[in-house]
Parts: sequence; C-alpha cells; structure tokens
Amino acid sequence: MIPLRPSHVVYYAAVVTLTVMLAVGAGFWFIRTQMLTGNDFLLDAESEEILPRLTHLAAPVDAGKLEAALHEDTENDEALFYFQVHEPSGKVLYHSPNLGNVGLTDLTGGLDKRTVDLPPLGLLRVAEYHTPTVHVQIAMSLRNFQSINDTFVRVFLLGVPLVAVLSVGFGLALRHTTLRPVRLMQAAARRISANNLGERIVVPPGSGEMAALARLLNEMIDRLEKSFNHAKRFTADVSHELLTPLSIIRLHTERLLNDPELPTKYHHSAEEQLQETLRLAETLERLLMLAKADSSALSLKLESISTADFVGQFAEDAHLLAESRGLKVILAQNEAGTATIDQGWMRQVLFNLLSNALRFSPPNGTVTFFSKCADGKWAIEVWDEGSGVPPNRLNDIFERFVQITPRAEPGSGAGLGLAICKSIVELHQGCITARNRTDRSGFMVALSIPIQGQNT
Amino acid sequence: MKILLVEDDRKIGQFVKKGLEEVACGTTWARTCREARELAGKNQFDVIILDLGLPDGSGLELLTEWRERKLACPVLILSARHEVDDKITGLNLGADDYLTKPFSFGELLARLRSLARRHTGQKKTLLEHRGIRLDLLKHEAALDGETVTLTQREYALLEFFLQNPARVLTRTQIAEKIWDCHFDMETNLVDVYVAKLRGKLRRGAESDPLFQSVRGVGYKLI
Repeated sequence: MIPLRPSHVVYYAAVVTLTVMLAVGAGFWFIRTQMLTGNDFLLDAESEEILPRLTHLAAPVDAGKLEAALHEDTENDEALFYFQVHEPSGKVLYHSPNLGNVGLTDLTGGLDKRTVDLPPLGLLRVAEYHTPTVHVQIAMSLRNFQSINDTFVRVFLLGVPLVAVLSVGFGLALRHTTLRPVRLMQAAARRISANNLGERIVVPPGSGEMAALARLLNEMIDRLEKSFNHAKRFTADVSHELLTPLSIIRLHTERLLNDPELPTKYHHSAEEQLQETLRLAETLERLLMLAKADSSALSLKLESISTADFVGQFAEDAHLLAESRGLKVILAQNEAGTATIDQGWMRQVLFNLLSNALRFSPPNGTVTFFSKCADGKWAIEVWDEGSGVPPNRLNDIFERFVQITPRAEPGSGAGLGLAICKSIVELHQGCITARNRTDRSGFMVALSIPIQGQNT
Repeated sequence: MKILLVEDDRKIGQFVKKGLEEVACGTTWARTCREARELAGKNQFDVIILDLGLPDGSGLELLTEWRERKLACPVLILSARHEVDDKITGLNLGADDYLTKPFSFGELLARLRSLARRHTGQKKTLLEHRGIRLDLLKHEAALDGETVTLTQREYALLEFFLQNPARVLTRTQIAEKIWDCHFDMETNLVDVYVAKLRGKLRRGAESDPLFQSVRGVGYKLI
C-alpha cells in the first residue's frame, strides 16, 4: 500500500505499531511458556529424587524420620527449591528453613502445579506430589521470570510509542517521496493549457506505476493536442476555403457596381449580390468565432478597466443609436467597479444586446440598462418594452441559429447574436440569462461576470 | 507607389495586381514565401501586401524574418485567417495594418495609400481641412475659427477623417478604429456618428456634403 493521504499515514503507523505490539506480546508469551515448562520439568525431576525416600514411611508419619529422610536433599537444593510436607489432613510435617514463616497452602485437587504470590518470597511455582502417606510440595522462585516480565512491560511502554512515532515519520517520508512524481505531474499538468499544448509531463525514470501514469497522461495530452489542432486547422481551412472565393465575388461585384457601363437594370441585382456576400462573410466569421471559442482557441486581450467608464461610454453610443430610431435609452444604474475584460468583445456583447432590444422595442419605447458591482460580480441588465419571447422559447434563445423574429425582417442577423454573447460572457467566466418582464410586457437579459473588487 | 503583393490565390492575385496597376501602382506579385523573400531582398518597395497562408510557409514567419533584418517597408496583412489572435500576433510582429477577407478593393487601396503616406510624412499636431481645424495637442476642434464642442467619439472620428482626407474610409475600418469591435455590430452606429458630425460642422443652411457617402462602403472627407 502506498500511503497517499495523511490519513493513510495514520493507518500505516497504526498497523505497524499494532504488529510490533503483537510480535512483542507473542515473544513474551513464548518465553514465559518456555520458562514455566522448564521450571515444571525441574520440579518433576526434584520430586523424582525425593519421593522414593518417602515411600517407606508408614502412617502416621513421624516428623523426625521425615526430616531425616529429606534432610540431605533439601539442604543441597536449598538455593533452588522450597519444600513443605504435610499429611493428607493438612497437618504440616516438614517446612524447609528457606521458607521462613511462609506456609505453602495446600493445593486442592491433588497433583497440580500453580503459580502463587507469597510475599516476601515473591512469585512461586508450586507443585504438589502425593505418596500414600504424605503430600509433598516443592516450590521454585519465579524471580527471574518476574524480572523478564518487568523488562517486557518497560519495553512495551517505551518501545510501542517509539515505534508509533517512527512509523508515522517513516510513513510521512515515504508519502513525500512516493508522491513527489505526482506533485511534479500536477505542476506540469497545470502549466499545460491551450497555449502550450506541446509541453509534456516528464516521465520519472524506471518502469514503475508513476512512469506508467505519466506516460498515460502524456498520451492523453497528445490526443488533446491533436483534436485541438484539428479544430484550429479546421477553422483555418474553412476561413481559407470559403473566404477566398467570397473575396473574389466581392471584388468582382464591387467592380461591376463601380462600372458606369453597367446597365441600370442590373444595378439592383449587383447590389443585392454584394450585400448577401457580405452577410455570408459575416455569418461565417461569427461561426468561426464560436468554433474558436468552443475549442478554447480564442484568447482574450484582458485589461483592468473601470466599469463605470466603460458602461458610460457605451451609453453615449446607445443614446445616439436609439435617438436615430425614435427610441430612448436610459442608464438607470452605473456603479463603480474594476473589471478585467476584453473591451472589444464585451462591447460587442453590449451592442448585440442593445440592437436586439432596439429591434424589439415598440415606437417611442425605452430600453433600460443597469450596471451593478456587488458581491464580487459585475452585473449588467438590459430591459426592453417589446412583446417578450414565448415562454417555450426562453430556454433556447442562446442556442445557435435560433430566430425569435421571422428571418425576413431586416437586421435580424443569422440568429447567432445571443449565442456569441453567451460564448463571450462564458469566456469571461460569467453567465447570461434571459426572462420576460413581469412588471409589463418586455424582455430582460442579465449577464454577470466575476470582478476583483468593488471600489472607485 | 511600388507594391509587393504576396498572395497564393491566383484569382485574387490577378485581380489585385490588375486593379493596382490601373491606378498606377507598380505591382510585383509573389506566390510563395520563397519568391517573396527573394523579391523583397532585391528590390525597394513602398508597401508589402502579405497573405498569411502561403503554400510553403506562413506569412507571419516571413514578417518576423523581415523585421529581424530591419526591413522598414510597411506591411499590410491580407488574410482569410482573420481571427483576432492572429491579428494581435501580426501587429506584434511588426505588421502595420491588417485587412481581412473578403475585402473591398477600395478599402485596400485606401489603406495602402495611408500606409505609404504614414511612412513618409511626419505626425502632425495640427490638422486642417476646408476651414476645419483640429489641434491635437489642445484637443480642440474649430470651424472657421469658432470652437466646436465634440464628444470623445466625435473627436476621434473627425481626427480619423482629417488624417485621411479624400480617402474612402469603410464602415468596418471606422468601427475597428473607433470602437475596437471585431465584427459588424449589427448597428448603424457609424452612420449615426457621421450624421452627428455633419450636423456640428454645418455652415448655416449650406448643403455642402463634407462627408461624402460612398455607397455600400463608407465615407470620404471631401
């Protein structure tokens, strides 16, 4: 498992610590079992030495004879064993001197081995053997065992936290090292945008999973670059293949129109031809613009501008245009703010919205503009007094080639105006919406784009 | 005016060459980058018309090369690759003007003339034409000695006309210059402004046109 997130490091450390705890515990358990087995073996061996000396003793056993029989052994093994002999009834017949005044309790249940704590002797391993007349108890000190036990507790208390700390540290270091290529890839991937699709992620050495991942990402960028170039190529080809013949048509038509020998009856036709050529070129140019925006190949010339100045200047043009058509434009609100925009394109958006609004306005109608800067957004609204849009068409008016007015109406364009507005606003990370007015008949388009701050 | 035309399309090339020669502009036509490189190296031209999509390379490479070699001749880019970023790239690389296809011959000629003149003449600070005076330093306009108050846009428009007297200025050319708009704004904004300017520069009831309308193309200051 490769620790990837900080929480993974915690899991990793917990698993390591737990494993160490289990290993130490199992080791201790094993040593303890071994020691006890060894002790029990020694106790049995001692009993085999002692019991034959006691079998001849007949009941009731005399304490003096018993001591005489045991004397040799008990004195020899005084350093290692403790002895106590009692009658089956419980009366103590012999008590080895090294026990002092500590009495070994009778072990119930006959032959048995037990570990008992008898201060001040500490832990003792006691075994009991029976002859027909007496019960013999032999005990061994577990002092060594006790010290191992203490050591274990110390090791456990000190070692486990140490292991925990070390494994967290090791886990973090491992995470850092294993994630380094990922971080490099991240940085590289972030650098690669529409403008430098030629760049690639550096493949880490070796054939590990990171290298495979880097290669995979690079293959993906390859494909992206290819389709991106394809889109660019396509627009360039379309431009060239269609705009070149259009140029030729325009050049010749204009030549015809400028020729005084052109019969008057053909004049109108030539003019129509010129106008339609220009309209076709215009539509083509809009489509190319949309295609470029779609493939994010359109770059904006971003500048920081004062929204109040920008809208104010636009309003001046708007007043004149409206006036020339017997309509009125009101700039109802123009708040100060600073926005980073491509002025040419944003002006295009405003002119598109204005010309739609003017086109739909009834005679003597008013088009109202609002420009507000609040909550990190620059919001512009355009209200007209036309008949609005049928509710079922509201959803698709920003789609391409959607006409609200009959196509034959002059100046209705190709139905790309709002699609272009949407595209431009979205290139500015903004959004655009439209609805019918509720206070009266009319239409309202609202757009908003993020800005840095609200100031003067 | 000696012109180098770099254009790979046969029909456009023929038309432009013939048209330019009709108005007494000696024109040499190069169809490839290689030809253009050779011709520009050997001859002196007043203006170069450069198409971007050439069969053996990009016109932009050619332009970079020329500007690196300090070729001072003004360059007008004429291309179907009208996309805005190309326009910016072209102008950054040292192109002097940009005309997109489909173009009007009248507009091409007007721009060529203004380019050639821009390179010979100095920048004036006082523009005068038939009693109209524009002081570029003081930012003041006057008609027959009397000050005329103009808005920012009207001033810019008048300056553009006065800098190009007797030349046809197309609507696109004007819109691009004054409003920095990428394509037709679906409006008659240019006409509205010319009408405003006409009104402010009218002398009494005289019907002197001053800004002559050129049908289908634009206006001319006469």
